[in-house]
Amino acid sequence: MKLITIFTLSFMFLISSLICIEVIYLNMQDKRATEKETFVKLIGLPDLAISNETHYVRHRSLSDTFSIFSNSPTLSENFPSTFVYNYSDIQKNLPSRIEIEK
Amino acid sequence: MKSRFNTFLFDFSILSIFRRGSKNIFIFFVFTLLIFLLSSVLFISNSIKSELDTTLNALPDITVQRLQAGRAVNMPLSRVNKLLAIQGVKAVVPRVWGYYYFANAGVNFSIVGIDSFEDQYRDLYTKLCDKFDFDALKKNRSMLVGSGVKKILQNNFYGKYFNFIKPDGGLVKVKIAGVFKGDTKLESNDVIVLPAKKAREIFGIDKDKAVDFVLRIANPVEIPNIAAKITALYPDTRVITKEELSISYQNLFDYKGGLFLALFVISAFTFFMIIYDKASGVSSDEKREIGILKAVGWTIDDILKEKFYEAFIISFVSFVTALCLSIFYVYFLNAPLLKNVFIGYSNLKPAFDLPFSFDFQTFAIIFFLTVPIYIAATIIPSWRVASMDADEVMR
Repeated sequence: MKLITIFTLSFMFLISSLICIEVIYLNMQDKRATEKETFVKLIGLPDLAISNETHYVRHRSLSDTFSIFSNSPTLSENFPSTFVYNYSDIQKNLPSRIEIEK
Repeated sequence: MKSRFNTFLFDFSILSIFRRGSKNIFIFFVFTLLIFLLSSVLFISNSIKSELDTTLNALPDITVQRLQAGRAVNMPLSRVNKLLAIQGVKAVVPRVWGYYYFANAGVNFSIVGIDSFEDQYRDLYTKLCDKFDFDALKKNRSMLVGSGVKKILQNNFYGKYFNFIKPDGGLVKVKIAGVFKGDTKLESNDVIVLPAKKAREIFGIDKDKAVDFVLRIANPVEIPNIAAKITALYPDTRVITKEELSISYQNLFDYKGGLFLALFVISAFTFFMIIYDKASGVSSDEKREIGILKAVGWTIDDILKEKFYEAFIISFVSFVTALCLSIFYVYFLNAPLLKNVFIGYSNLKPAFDLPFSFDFQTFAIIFFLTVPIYIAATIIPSWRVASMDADEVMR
């Protein structure tokens, strides 16, 4: 085997083992899920406080059509949160499509 | 039996990669960047999903809202007894919660009113808050705030208390008794927890009304049945079960829309440009090389093996390098720049660590979308050339 082959193979091995080390290290971290669970149990509300520009993104699982359209009759975009997160699909009062006849 | 792995062929393919160094380095660079971007976004979205899933079990079994003319309105407390009478319902807790817009900073706080400030809850609050004054909480005069709220209030010179403006214009002065721990930042950043009485005062909600009801069910199997009973009893209610919340969490990201569509389209186009370049035909140099190899006695099998090693080395090294970099970028550096896309630009940004979740599926999807396709795109045109006559190829 040539030196350059050994070099290439060892580079591949090194990078792969680095991934393994990263994954093992990250798995060993303390996740502290109990505190989060206690907090959610206390307030009883779903979803994360990661983006709170609008109510239907902050508590998206509890939102309905009217909370999405409460700011204006058209859908007002709150880029980037409405661009990233999907609207909640458990809303049950989706209006039917209105077609305007000519 | 002859060894299937020919080290000389392997040597040759590595030397061949370095012979066309600049071209291969460019492919390696673009390929690595592409996989890095794709996997970083997928890792961040996986983390956010896994963060939601850790708290899923703590959510209430059933939440009941009331709709009037399609909008959520307050529930009359007189309904509590009728709901309690349904068999299997362990408890009905009326809640008072909502949003408070703090105009000075232009942010929305989530205010949650809670009744449980008695002595038996002292341990619970000690666990959740860094340092706090429990006696002030007990006297119904103070609130617990998330770290983001605390920061915003401090920036607006409300170090120890805050004046809420009531709907009638009056003020409600509430002391800050404590701040929620940093570990719960993703859940508590914009939350203010205060006694339900104060929350009613701030929102102007009557004593006989609540925002919604939370139901605890003794047997989880009965949840759908009880939900159906509630809808039959009060047709104007919207019943949200824990399972529906879990479905909602699953659909947090729509991979067909917005950011993901933009990302996938860009990635696919860049990737297929590389593939097109590879598959549209071998360059005359490479053609001549294949011809010479055939002339000196290489079989088609050898040539294809050599091309396979070449393509595999480039794509696999790009793949592992990109993965290694993106794990480091997302979980060790906390995804600077890219995380902002997920957080938005509100003033109340949580500074949180992304929780690690090893999702083998993501690894597998990225691998199978990139490496085998690249290998195929290299081997197929080489096979076409290699199956021609040597002198025809060299001419």
